Amino acid sequence: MINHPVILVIEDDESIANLIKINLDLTGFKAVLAHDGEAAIQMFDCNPVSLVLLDLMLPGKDGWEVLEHINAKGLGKIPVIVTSAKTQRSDFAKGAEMGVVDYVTKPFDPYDLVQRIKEILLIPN
Amino acid sequence: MTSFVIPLAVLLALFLAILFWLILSRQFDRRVLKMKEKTEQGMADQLHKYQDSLQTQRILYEKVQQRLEEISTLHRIAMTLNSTLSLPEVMQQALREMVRIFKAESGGIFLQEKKRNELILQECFGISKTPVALPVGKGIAGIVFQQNFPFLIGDVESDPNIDLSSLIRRSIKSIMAVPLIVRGRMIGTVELHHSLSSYFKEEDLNLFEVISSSLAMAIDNAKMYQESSENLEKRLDELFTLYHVTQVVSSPLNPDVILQRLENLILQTLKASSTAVLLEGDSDITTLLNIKEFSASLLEGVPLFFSDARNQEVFASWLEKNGDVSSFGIIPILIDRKLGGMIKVCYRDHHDFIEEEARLLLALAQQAGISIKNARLYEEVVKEKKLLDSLFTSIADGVITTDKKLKIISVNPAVEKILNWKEEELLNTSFLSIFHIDTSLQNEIDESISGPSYREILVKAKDGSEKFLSLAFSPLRGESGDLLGFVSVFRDISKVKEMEQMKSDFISTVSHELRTPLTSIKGYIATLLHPATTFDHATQREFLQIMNREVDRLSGLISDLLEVSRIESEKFHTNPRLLDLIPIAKQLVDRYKQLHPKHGFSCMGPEKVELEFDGSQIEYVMQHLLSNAVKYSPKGGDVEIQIQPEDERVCISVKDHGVGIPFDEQEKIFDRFHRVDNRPTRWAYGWGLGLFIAKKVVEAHGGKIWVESILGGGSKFIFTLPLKNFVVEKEGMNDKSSRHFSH
Repeated sequence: MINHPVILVIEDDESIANLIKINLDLTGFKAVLAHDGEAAIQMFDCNPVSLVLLDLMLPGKDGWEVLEHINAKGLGKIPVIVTSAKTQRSDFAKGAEMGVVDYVTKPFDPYDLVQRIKEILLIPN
Repeated sequence: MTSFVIPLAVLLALFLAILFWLILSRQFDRRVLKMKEKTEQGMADQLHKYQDSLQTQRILYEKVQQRLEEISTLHRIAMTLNSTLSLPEVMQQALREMVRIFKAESGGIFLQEKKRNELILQECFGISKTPVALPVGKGIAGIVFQQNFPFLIGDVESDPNIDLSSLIRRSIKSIMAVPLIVRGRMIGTVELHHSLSSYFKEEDLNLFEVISSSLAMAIDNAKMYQESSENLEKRLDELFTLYHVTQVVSSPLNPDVILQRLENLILQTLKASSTAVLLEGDSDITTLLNIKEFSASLLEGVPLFFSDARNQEVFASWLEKNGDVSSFGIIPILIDRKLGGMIKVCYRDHHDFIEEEARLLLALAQQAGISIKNARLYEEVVKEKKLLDSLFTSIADGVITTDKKLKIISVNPAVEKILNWKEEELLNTSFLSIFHIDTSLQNEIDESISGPSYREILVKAKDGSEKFLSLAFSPLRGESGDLLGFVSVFRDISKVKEMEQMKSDFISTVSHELRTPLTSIKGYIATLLHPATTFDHATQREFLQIMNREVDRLSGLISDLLEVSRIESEKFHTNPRLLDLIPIAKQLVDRYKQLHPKHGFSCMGPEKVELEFDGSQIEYVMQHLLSNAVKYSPKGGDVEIQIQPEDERVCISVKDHGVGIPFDEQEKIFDRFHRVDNRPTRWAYGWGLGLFIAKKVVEAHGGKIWVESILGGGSKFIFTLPLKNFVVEKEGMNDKSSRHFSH
């Protein structure tokens, strides 16, 4: 399973979470799902995550708090892609400020998302 | 013997000697006698001469004495006459003095009354003072006056000129009367009487004449003085009246009071029978202006005075309305050079208007014009001020005026309403201490701003709450453009700001909510269309089901949006029909039971509750409450529905055991766009639309909706519907017989 990087998918909407998982599975990633902020933090702490897909509007702790946790862990190397329906400039700016590698607005093409993950993780097609 | 001889010889010798001496002396005596006689004769002559001279001297002395007395009398009289300028005193003292000088018993002074050409007894002595008026030519005084000649009558009874009946005292025999002449002008007569015949002498008359001429002069002087003092007094009176008028008329600013006072003043001062100050529009004025002969004069401000009102035919119809009038005056009142009113003064008895009265009335009219104008101006100013005051107090925006140094000098009630500061707490404090305005405005103030500046500022109200104000700050300038201070007008836009924030949140939420199902739909389609992958039939179907569900969700959201838009555009209306509430609730519960198996649904209520309502709208409300109950109890748990008819209404409640709602948010959740802020956003109450719609629907049915909730202890939403035309099956009413129609 050397070539199966773990992607932490943090998404409260079940059908979207499943949709991402299906597409990651198809590409050969291992998707780990979290439906709320607390679960996400727990998952992040317990799994060797290669990349995080982060929804911002979550029950419990929101996406920004989760991101703070990820940054605070000092790992720094683990790329985070925000997948959100929030399309305000202030959110984009905040994301950039907090070091996310990409900000994908919903609705998105799951295929494109996977391609983007591949690019970030330098995985050739 | 010798002794006898010798003495005898001696005696003889002595005798002889004596005899010789006697002879000698006799001769001498004769001579002496002669001489003596001569001397005596001379002496007698001398004496006689002396006596003559003494007589002459005595006469002269007497004459001198008399002259002296006359002079002293004249002097005394002159002194007396000069000691006073009062006419009665002059006459009284002069007459007394004359009576004393001439030892008369009585006397009198007559003065001419020009108008009637009569002589009036002005002063008398020794007779009782009764009014006596003698026509010129009648009585002693009349004759003396007419003939301009002094009279000296020794016995009145033997004088054919005297009409005894005209005598002022019965017992008079002698009369001395002279005319009083000043600079050739006759002014009256003076006479003295005595009961003895031929009592007064010619020389008395001469002195009398001299004294009388002094008296005449003194009377004239006194008269002149009296006249000039009377004139002066009159003038003073006039001035005083005018001053009084100004006082009376200019102190009050109520026109009615002014007119009333003017009228009183005219009645008092001019002793008129009636007076009125007529103002523009008065029918009297119209009548008077219709009199062609005088309308032009009146319009130009020329007063009219008529002593003989009854002869003025053109005024006849007007006078008829004014009752019994013998004399009248009409004085136009000009206001700004235009006829603004009239003063009418009427006398029941004949009255000659004298110059002073005319002058006074004109002055009154002028003063009245000014006062009426002032009063009107004042009224206008007061009206304007009242309007401004009420504007200032009624205006919903806060208005604060400051002086140049930004010290607050006035605030309107709205300021207190908006900021909770009381007027007295704000007055005399610095504007900047209340409004912590950024430095840019302070800089503008320093540079003596030329026009208004607008800004939105955040200030702290007295209670510490923050208020968003839209503030217009302008310089307050006087007529000449000099800076008096500043005026700030502000409006509380906190609500607007809140609404703006809510709208912005709403748009972002709507956007999010719409994007979420779209993400699924688009994502599953894209996955299905993935060129490198094919899915088996079951997976494809599963994807399609998901997409179908998400499309439903999307269309539900769009319906809600449209519903809100309908409510907002007031096109919203209910369509009530007689329906049974129970089956609707039952169907909903059944559906939710299928959709959310983690939750348990219980429902309590009677068999049947029939009432008039809009089925689809009430179903929406119940569905939304169920949806919220599920959403806010994410870990599952029971959702209880209860339908309970009461006296005049039916209560429908939906209770969950979820997260609950903070107390201070419980009312706001029914507002449009409101979401509970401190919650995880996805768990906020919808978009704030569902409960807003629910509230509108329930209210449109005449019911109420509210929530009872404890944070962390679940929520119970209750709404009521009025039970007009309701039908409730009794058996289901008690708790025991009520049954769960779904579980």
